[in-house]
Amino acid sequence: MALNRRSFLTFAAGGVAGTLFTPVIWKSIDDSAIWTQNWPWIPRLEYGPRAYAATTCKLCPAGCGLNIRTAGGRPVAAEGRTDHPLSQGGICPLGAAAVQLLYAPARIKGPMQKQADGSHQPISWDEAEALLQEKLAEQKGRKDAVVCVSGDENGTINELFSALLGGLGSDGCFLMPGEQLVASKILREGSIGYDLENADFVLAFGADMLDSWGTAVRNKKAYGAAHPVGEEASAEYVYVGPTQNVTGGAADQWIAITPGMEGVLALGIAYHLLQGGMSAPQAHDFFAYRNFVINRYTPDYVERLTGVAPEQVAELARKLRTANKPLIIPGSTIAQGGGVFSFAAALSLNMLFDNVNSVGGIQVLPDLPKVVEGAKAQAQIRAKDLVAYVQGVADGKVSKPGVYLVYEANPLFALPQPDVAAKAFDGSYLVSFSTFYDETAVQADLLLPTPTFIERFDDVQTPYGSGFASYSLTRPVIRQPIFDTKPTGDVLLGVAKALDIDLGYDSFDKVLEAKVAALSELEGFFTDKVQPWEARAGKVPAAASGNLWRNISRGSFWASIQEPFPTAMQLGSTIISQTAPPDAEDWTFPVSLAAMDSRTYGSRHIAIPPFCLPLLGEQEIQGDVFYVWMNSATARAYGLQAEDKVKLAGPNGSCLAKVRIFEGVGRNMVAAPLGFGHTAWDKFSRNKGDNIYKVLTVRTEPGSNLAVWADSRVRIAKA
Amino acid sequence: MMEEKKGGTSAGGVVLPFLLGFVAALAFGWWGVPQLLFSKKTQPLVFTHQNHIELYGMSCDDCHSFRRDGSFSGLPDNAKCAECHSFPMGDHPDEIKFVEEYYEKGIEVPWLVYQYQPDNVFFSHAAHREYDCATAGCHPDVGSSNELPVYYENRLTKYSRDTMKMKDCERCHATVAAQEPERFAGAPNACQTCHK
Repeated sequence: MALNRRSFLTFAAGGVAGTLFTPVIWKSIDDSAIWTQNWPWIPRLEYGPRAYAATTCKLCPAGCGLNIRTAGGRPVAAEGRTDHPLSQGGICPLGAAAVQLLYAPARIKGPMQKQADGSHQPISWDEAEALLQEKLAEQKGRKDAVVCVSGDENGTINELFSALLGGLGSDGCFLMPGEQLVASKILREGSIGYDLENADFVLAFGADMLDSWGTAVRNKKAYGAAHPVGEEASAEYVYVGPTQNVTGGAADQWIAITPGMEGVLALGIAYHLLQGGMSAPQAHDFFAYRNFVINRYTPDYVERLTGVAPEQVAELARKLRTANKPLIIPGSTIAQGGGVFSFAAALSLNMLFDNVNSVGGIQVLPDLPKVVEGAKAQAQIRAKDLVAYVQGVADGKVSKPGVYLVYEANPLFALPQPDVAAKAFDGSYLVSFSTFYDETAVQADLLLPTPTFIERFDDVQTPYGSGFASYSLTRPVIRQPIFDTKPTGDVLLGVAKALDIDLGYDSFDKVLEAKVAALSELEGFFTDKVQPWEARAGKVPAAASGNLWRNISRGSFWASIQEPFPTAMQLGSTIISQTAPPDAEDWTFPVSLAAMDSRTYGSRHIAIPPFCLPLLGEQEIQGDVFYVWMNSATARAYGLQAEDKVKLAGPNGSCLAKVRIFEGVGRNMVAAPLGFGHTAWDKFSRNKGDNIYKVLTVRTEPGSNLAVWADSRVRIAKA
Repeated sequence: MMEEKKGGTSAGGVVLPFLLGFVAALAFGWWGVPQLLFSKKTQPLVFTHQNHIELYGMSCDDCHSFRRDGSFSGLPDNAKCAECHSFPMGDHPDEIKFVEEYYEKGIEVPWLVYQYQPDNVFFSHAAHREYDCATAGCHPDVGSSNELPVYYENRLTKYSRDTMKMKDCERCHATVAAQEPERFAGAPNACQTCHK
């Protein structure tokens, strides 16, 4: 055999033929396919024993119960808890994203310090805490030189902040604004509860109770229980608000009204009730109230201000009168920035029906006992007006503090007119305890990230909107925090110790244990057998006994329906008449801005999670442009059509959007969603639309001196 | 000789190179490629199933058990081994290594699994309980020997060479399940039986 071209080709042909009798070709095709399925960026399932851990959600103030599902000790999903009165098996879109947020790229991975070039560089916890201590020591003894902005309105952590600030000589412990602030102007101590489950006629003024107001998931459950499928509804729900949002869509009746005018309609209803001979002899200011309402809120006047026809108002009054247990819920559409007038006016209707502290009515709920020595009472912390303070600092009327401590809050994004907040924060030392790299953290000089609620102990005291006082705990359901984070409570205690301020505890867990121990001062019960609303209606629960800490830290829900103190009933005629809005037209800014909130858009301190992005329809966002909604008549009046670019301009800020024509928006209003337009966070949550907080306008309500912005107005024009 | 010089026309001149190429390809395909494709790995620690069963009277499901929710625990974790081996009971270096290097440091032993299915396959051990692990042809029979088989890892796909292919599952579902259709109503060869 010679080695020539022919024999080589023959050899090659033999090789090809031989290859066909081996598995090489089929094996390599198969393996290549499998190889493509195992590229490193393709997510892998977690294997291991599956378990559930009962805990409580801290992503918004509603305080729902969550079941965190784990596989091999690693959280994989969040589900609603059936044994928790505030969720009853339900879950909101934000709660469902809880586990995803645990692993979100936006998380701050450890303590960081701002450098001269504006970037954040990692430092150790020891260095970070020494730095915090040094900055606070500089301010010690100076009056109100340290200010805390807390976005957690239900946590015991506020007592630590308040006591630490007290030790430094400051009274500046603020909560981010919410309904509680307005409620505190009406009720000096305790909080207002709403016994939804037992009411048979619910009239909500502004409060978007089925999506974003108060205990939203529990509200939905109460609504669902009252509207069984295929049967007569056992309770009627009426929503008075600017847009046919989730609440307006689900309610048995929706009445469109300009934001800020809810109180006028409430007094218009009161007019009919009083004309019909209703009285409230138990209230000592009844006659003043009666005269004020009858003289001023005549049907014609109410129609002129609200656009609601007199017969509709009379019909509402009739429905209220024929109901057994009517419940009137005051509030603002975005659960913040409402005025005292609308709140007090809606609340006064409850007084007329004498349904305060009665089944299916308004409840006065006790504040849970305070456990940190030197902290201000919850009611005092709640009553402080952050927005007014920030405006004062920005205008130079109030001296600028040296240090801001920001916890679970994002004031540089989520305060009305965030540019004013930026001005107020500028030049002070800003410390952010945020879990996520939010707009405030970007500007912060020092980042001390706290773990997510899935990785730490924390607590939830009576959320606003609930019908009963309650307490539940949040606990770590993961073996180790996944990043180099430290619970803020422990950081504060450490710093206080270094500054010789005695807060009385070594660790935040001990604070919570003391809180739980203090619950025995109230008459409480666990909700395993009797639900709080059943207890209200007369069922007698067994008093909570046994090891409270053991039970509550494993997920038991502690509730109390104790009446804290006898409440002197008054209709609030003085405050209502002082805060009544003028009936002047605003020609410069002719259109009402009806801001919308939804848990789909995240919450006050959480940007929209990637999990919720698919929930946004093509009529809500396209690319990086979001939509504002108006009805066709409004659009025509301003020469706009669907999909047009439109500019919303308020007195202090403006934003761009596209037009969505939606007839569920009242006349002469433009509805716009809050929570869009984030610029920090991660690539999933930022650059989606624009921030409506920029367009909201803060004004001072006469008579109460409260900062209000729920009734902002704008100009709209084709962009 | 002269005739042979003409070479190319003779049968041998064509057949021989062809045969050589054919045999070389066969050898390469059946023996060479597997040598190249698979890397040999040994388990991180020596473990003898036979001794545990015969000397210490243990049974398979002492370690490979079903959890209360019906899911299969698979391999035992450190805590399971430490029920006996939380400190060295003998003087075998691997046992000491387990205690000192893995158990005390809280690191799970990275056992190599011969039969690991990809994530897109849903397989419930609970549904196959009545079959013997080894004789049904799914797992190597490790219970009756003191040796653990060599682990061949596919360099390209990173799977074990012994990973069951889809046809193996289908064959059993087609034959065994077809014998008693009432009993195996839940075991058709439909896609969604295993790919949920």
